[in-house]
Amino acid sequence: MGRYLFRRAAEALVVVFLASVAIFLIIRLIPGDPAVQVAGVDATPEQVEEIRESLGLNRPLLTQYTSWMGGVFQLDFGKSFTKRLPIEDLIRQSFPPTLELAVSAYVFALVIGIPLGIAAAIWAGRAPDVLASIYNVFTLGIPNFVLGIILLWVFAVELDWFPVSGRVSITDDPLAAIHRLALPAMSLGAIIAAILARFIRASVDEVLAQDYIRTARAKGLAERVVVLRHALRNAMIPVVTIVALQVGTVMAGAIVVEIVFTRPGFGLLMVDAITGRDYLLVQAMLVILVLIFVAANAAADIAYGFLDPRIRVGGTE
Amino acid sequence: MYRKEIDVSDRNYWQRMKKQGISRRGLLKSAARAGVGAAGIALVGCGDDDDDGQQQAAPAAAQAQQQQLQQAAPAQQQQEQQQQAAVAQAQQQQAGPRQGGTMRVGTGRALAEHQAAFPFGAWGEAFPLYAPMLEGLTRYGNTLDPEPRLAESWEFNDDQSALQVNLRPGLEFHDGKPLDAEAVKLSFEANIAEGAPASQVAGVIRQYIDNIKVVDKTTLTFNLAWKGTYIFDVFEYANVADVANLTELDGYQRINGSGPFKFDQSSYRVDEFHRMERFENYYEPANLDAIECFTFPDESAMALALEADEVDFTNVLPHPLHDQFQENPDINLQLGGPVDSIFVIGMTSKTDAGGSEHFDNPILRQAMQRVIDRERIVDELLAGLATTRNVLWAEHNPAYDPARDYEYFNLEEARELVTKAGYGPEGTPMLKIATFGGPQQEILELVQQDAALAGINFEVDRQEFNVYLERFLGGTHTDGYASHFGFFQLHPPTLPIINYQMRTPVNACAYDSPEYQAIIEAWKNAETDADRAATNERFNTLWDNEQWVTPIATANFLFAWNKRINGFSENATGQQRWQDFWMDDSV
Repeated sequence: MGRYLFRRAAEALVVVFLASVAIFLIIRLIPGDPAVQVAGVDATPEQVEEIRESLGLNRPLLTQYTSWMGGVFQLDFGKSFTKRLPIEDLIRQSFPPTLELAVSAYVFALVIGIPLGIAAAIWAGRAPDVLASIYNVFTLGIPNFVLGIILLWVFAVELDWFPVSGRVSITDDPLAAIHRLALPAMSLGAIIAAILARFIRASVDEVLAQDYIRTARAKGLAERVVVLRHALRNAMIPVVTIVALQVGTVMAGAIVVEIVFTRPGFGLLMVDAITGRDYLLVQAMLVILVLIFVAANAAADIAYGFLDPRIRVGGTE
Repeated sequence: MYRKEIDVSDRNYWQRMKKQGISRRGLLKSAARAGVGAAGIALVGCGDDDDDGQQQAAPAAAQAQQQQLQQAAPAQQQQEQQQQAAVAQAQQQQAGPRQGGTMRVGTGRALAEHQAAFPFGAWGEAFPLYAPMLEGLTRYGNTLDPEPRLAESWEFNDDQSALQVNLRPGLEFHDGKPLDAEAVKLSFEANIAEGAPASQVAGVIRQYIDNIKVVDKTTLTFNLAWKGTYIFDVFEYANVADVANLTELDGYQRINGSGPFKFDQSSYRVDEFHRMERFENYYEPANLDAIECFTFPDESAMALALEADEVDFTNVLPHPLHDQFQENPDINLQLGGPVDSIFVIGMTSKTDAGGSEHFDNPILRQAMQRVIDRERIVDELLAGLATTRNVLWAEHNPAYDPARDYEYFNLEEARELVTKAGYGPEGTPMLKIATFGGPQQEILELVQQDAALAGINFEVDRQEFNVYLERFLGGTHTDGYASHFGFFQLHPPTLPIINYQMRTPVNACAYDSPEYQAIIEAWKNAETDADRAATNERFNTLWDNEQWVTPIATANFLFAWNKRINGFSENATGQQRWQDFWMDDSV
């Protein structure tokens, strides 16, 4: 295990390094001069040049990159061009709301998706299966933001059950926080739940056709035990894969959901940073996202071993 | 440096939820709706059942009559209650402004997007974010007549080459530091100091003001480079800021303002929220206890928040929601004056750096002016919530000439002008007019059809905003662009100083001419009002012939606020008097 973790950490470092180079170069390929943005529309060419100099934008790319990475290793991401604040402060402010949203969306997805998928597999072709299909078509066919607006209109404006906008920190008032998180989490988690339900249905369906399940039933085990103890554990491997791979979807969805529900967060900050050509902020945020993605995938690999002892991380089996 | 994440808008969160009766009233409402829906379905289902329908008709009619009778009493009571409430509200309003209350403002902008000290270039949309904290010497009323703010009075010398300004006695910045004549002088000078951020206000200060002299604690003299009342255009936007605070304004680490509300630094959450509290030592203390600003990245979400009573006021309600909100008895709607900007199409001249060899010809530009069906644009694209614009100036502007303000749309005349410009029956080759999306793109697409009929062929060149902006500022768009046009409500010479499409020598249209330069010089050297009027006329004649920018329609804000809010006003440049707002909690 130790060797495996070491190897994964080394691989992750290489991935992060390559990603950082790609991010650094790609953001500079987007047209638009950040110095013009910072200087403002009334600046003279001389003022723009001064700002370009002060931001270090006229230095060679390699110098800019090494200078930036040097800062990153010391956890100094620099200062945002557009917000004029240290990037660490901005990330510290925007990350917790997005983390709350992502976790709650996953919780919603697991709570809805797993039972729905299992029910659809057990009662294939019957009402639960049809219900799951309807749910899948409905949620996969509606974009996040449309679903969000529908939820807002019905539950916040018409029924007045939930607030329309804003955020309360979960550490300040957990109940109020959950109350404000409910609609955004549903909006973001609904699609993941649908994807999960589809995969679990297929996976459980496949496992239920295995010989050992027939054996378990022949032994007279209760159906509940057969499904939950024998079938579900083996059917969970694709679920772990999906959960890990959906990290990117959640982050992308969070941008839209944060806009619709006016929740400050990573997504909104990212949009602002990209439109403002805030190179340092975009770079810092993307590197963090890459780290999260790499960590999620590594965690998924490790989880496989716990779910199925035949899979040995780093081994030959 | 940030305060922990609490929703300051909702200090009594659960009390409010309890008051709302989340479980009871909400469920009852939904059950009632479900019941109505089910009844509707049932009625539809019964519709074709002839026999039963006939048999049930009489009892149904009797039942309906009975229901009407039963409903009549509560309806009457409700009407009486509404009348009583209206009377109470009218009485309250007659009684005058009430002290207290916190107004929650929804905006589409964030404080971090603006320079607090020098926000001259900020959109009117952003005014609520900082304007309550920062005050100027004077502000305009509904016309270009200045009204006193930090300045109590003012007086020109005989030839209007100097303006003596008398400050109100006892003025203070928010930290208690004296706001005296020296502080005002330093604040103005900071705008044009070396290293100061570029701003439009710096441009007019440099042009209009020669120097500033402090006479005594409350008196200072502005010696003017351009004689006359142009200086009040500077005062309209130049806020008086504490110069010692300028470095801390970077990133809004602290704002030591001069306006009726002071910044609650601990409340500030970047791109999300800030709170401003009444400054008791302001010369005219505000009615409200506080103003809270919430940034909404999505206008529709903000509209929903207004409807759900989570904000009280907004100045950027999306126009398509006008009809919906008009039917809402809890919301007041006010279409703002044409004070923000007007939609325009600009046409670039040919220069070494780029531009259009076609639109370099003023005759083709005149033709373009005539292919724009402004009324159709206002009706179809702007939901009727705008007014057509045929000329550059606002009606109150000294350069406004009603004789020139007529509908230019005339395709036949445009066709003749295209021919006169030297193009054959096929018209121009395919030109490119740039846009970055939004209403201006829709306007271009609508104009495109009529323009093609007249022989002006162009494609809409959608560009990424940063690219668009760089070309716009440099006057290097291929053939033209669609954009906004601002500052047409100020004194005429201010336009060529600060409007990107009019300033010289570099402007968005790359337009320049000896006559244009001569006009600007004439404005600068005008000694009398007659000289200024003659120069205005000269400019209008030049614009009639050259028309490098064609006005189309106003871009009005749509203000919306709930019934508790009173005291709204808007001046000639779209600014509000924040100290006048007040809340009527009895509503």
